[in-house]
Amino acid sequence: MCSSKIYSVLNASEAAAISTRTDYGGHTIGKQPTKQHSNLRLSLKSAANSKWILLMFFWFGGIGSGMFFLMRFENTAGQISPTPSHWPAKSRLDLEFSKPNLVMVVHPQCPCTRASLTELAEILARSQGQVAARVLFCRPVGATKGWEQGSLWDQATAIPGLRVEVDIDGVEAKLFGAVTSGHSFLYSPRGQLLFSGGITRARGQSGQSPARHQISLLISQELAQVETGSVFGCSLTGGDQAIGKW
Amino acid sequence: MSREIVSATAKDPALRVEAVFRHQQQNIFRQTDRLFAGLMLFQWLACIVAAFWISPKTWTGLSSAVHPHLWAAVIIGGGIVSFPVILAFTRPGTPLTRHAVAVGQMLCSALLIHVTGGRIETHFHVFGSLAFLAFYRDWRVLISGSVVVALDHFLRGLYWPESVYGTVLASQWRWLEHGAWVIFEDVFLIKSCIKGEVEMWEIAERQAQLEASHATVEQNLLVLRESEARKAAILESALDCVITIDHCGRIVEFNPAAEATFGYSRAEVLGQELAEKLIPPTLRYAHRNDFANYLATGHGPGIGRRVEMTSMHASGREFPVELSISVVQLDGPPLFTAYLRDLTDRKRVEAEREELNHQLLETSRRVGMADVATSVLHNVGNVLNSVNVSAGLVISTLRQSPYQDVGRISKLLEEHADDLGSYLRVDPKGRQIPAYLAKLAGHFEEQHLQAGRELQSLDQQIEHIKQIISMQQNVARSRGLREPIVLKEVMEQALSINTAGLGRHQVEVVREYSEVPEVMIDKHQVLQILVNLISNAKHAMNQADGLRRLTLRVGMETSTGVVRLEVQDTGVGIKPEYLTRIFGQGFTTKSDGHGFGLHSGALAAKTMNGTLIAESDGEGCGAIFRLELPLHAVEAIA
Repeated sequence: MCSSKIYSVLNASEAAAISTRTDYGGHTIGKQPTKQHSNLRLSLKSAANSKWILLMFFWFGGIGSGMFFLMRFENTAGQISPTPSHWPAKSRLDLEFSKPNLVMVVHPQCPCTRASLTELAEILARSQGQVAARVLFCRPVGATKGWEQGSLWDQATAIPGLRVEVDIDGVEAKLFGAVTSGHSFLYSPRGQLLFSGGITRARGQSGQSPARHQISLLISQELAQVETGSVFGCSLTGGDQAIGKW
Repeated sequence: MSREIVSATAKDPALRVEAVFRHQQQNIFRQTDRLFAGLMLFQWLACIVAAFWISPKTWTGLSSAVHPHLWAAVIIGGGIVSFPVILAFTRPGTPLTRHAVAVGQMLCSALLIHVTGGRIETHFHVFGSLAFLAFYRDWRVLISGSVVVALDHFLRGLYWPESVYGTVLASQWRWLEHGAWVIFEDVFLIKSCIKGEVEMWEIAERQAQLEASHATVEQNLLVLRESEARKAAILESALDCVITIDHCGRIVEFNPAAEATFGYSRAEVLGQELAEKLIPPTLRYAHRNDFANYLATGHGPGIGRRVEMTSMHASGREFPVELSISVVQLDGPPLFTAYLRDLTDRKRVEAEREELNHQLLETSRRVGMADVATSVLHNVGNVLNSVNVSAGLVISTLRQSPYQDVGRISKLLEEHADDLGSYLRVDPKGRQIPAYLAKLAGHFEEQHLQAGRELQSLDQQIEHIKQIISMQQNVARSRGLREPIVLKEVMEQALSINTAGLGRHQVEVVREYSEVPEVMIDKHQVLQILVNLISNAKHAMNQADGLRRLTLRVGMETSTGVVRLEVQDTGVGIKPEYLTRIFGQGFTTKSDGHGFGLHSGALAAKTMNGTLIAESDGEGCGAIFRLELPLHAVEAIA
């Protein structure tokens, strides 16, 4: 029936809600409650609303605290060991004499290093071959062969101009003083240290960072002094604390 | 409840618009709350999956542990969505829920950005979320969401500027730049929300108008339905047949009375031609002709009046019906409604009644003739009494006449014809003859006069008999001849008719006559009444002892315009219980009476627009009979 359609525009519960609610402008439609009832209802509703609003503030505060701890974790850098100021003589890695040498040591399974590789790819793309870059996948003692070839390996091998090598038992890492995944080193063609540190702005956070900017300047020789930066990543071989605090 | 609201707000269209607007707004709020509840649960799940996919573990050499991002996705993400989702299910449509959803949605964005490693692409979640929040069409929630974004950037810029802006040298107002892009979107979304509210209000106005129109239509429809129901009830309960045909002569309505009368069910005749089904074959051609003629000219023989015709039952039996046809002129071709009644029973009853009336008339005629005969005989009988008396007197006079003495004298004179002179002078017998003859002559003269009077009376009585008969004939013709009369003379005439009887019974007659003008009245009806009254008085006094006095009065009352003729006697009187019955037909106190005189007198008085009244103080107190007649004076009439 047409009439039932029209009248069913407001069903009983909705109509009751409309007739009693005042929280969308204070309009009371339909059967007018008495003033006393109205006041009582308003006070009860106010109390209920206050409770929920208070609860909302607690909720927001709780979530804010959690987010604070999350951000503190993401912005807490890993440990850094002393870095040799010259290219390690014992390194089996060849020093490229014609251009700066960029070395990044990574943990093959570290999820935060994905951001480091992304930044590295960005640096290489911008340097346009002015830097000899290599990434060392550190295979700790006890790891089986091929353990290092995960998704990070695939990501690294896909970056043009990047040499991907395995650092068996972390020998090279120790030579360069790297204990945290993503630790990068930039040496001049003559083997002098130009930069040591991470290239991401926070743990696992890609995007513009001061380190990336500095490396780009060093490669283009617009910057000469030694720069350092915080490293955000997993511990390469264990034993050293690389993970930031909560 | 909803009807109450509709009816309450229907009185005030603005209230109704407000109600519809709020209702629609509530619907949108509730639907969007539910949408976000589902979306947030999905986002939570997506966040966990993303964390698990991107950074499931954190490593230390060969050792691994659950990555904090995964814990954050589960715990913080759960915390973020729980509050808005609970509100969406427990307090849908409330502002608190909407704002909690907005805050939660922005926190979801932040968490997703963290979990996905700060990817630029994930930042689109913020702008997408704002667009989703615009579904509420409440610009305030956009403010809440935007404040959360701005607060996030402000705090992170304050404590970890490098992680937000990629540089430690960012300005302390850099968060405003990020917030500006959100505001940029907000401006358009807020405008869109406001426009949406305006459109919703316009829709509410249209809906309120539609509802008002619909209510009117509904009301009209209700009235129409009631009217239809009443019409249907009338049709269903009508005792007369109601048959409607269209312009093609096809039956479109056939009520139960028609079903009973014609022996067809409604389904059998609907759509069928009326002529084919209900009209005898011999009349169909004429009917179709008349019908076609009406459609062509607008004139037809049966339209708007009652006619009798012959119709046909389903069995083929023909029967008489009374029919009236009215034309229903609506849009399009006309409809014709026939109201029809089976006359079979009525015709039969009419025939029976006709026969009964005929029998009744015959019986009445016979009874009337008997009444007339009785009346005539009664009145004539009264007069005949007087005739008898007069005739007896004449006979007695003639018998006592000494006509034989004339013969004897004649014989003596013949015997003494030779000496007639001496016989008359000398003979003692002869000397008595002249004196005797003179005495005889005187006697004969007296007898002649007496016989002449009696014969004159006899002639009057015979004339009265003739008038009685004539009057009865006039009565039979319903009205008598009115003529100017002097009431005293009529009274005297009635008295004279009864004179002989009164004389025999030694009744003293007293006359009290007032001056009354001549009146126009039927003389013989008045005379008949008075004769009867005097005769009755004579009989009443004959049965009583003591004084026998008959008082006759003639008078009038000018104020009421009535003339009175009274006959009072000193007879046996009337018992009180008889006073009410005395004018009834057949009632009499006389041993030889018929109970007709007073009855016919009362009827005659009534015929003359008068009344006949009887008064008596009881048995032995005499009685008064008063005839009151309207005073139609001759002068007045002239």
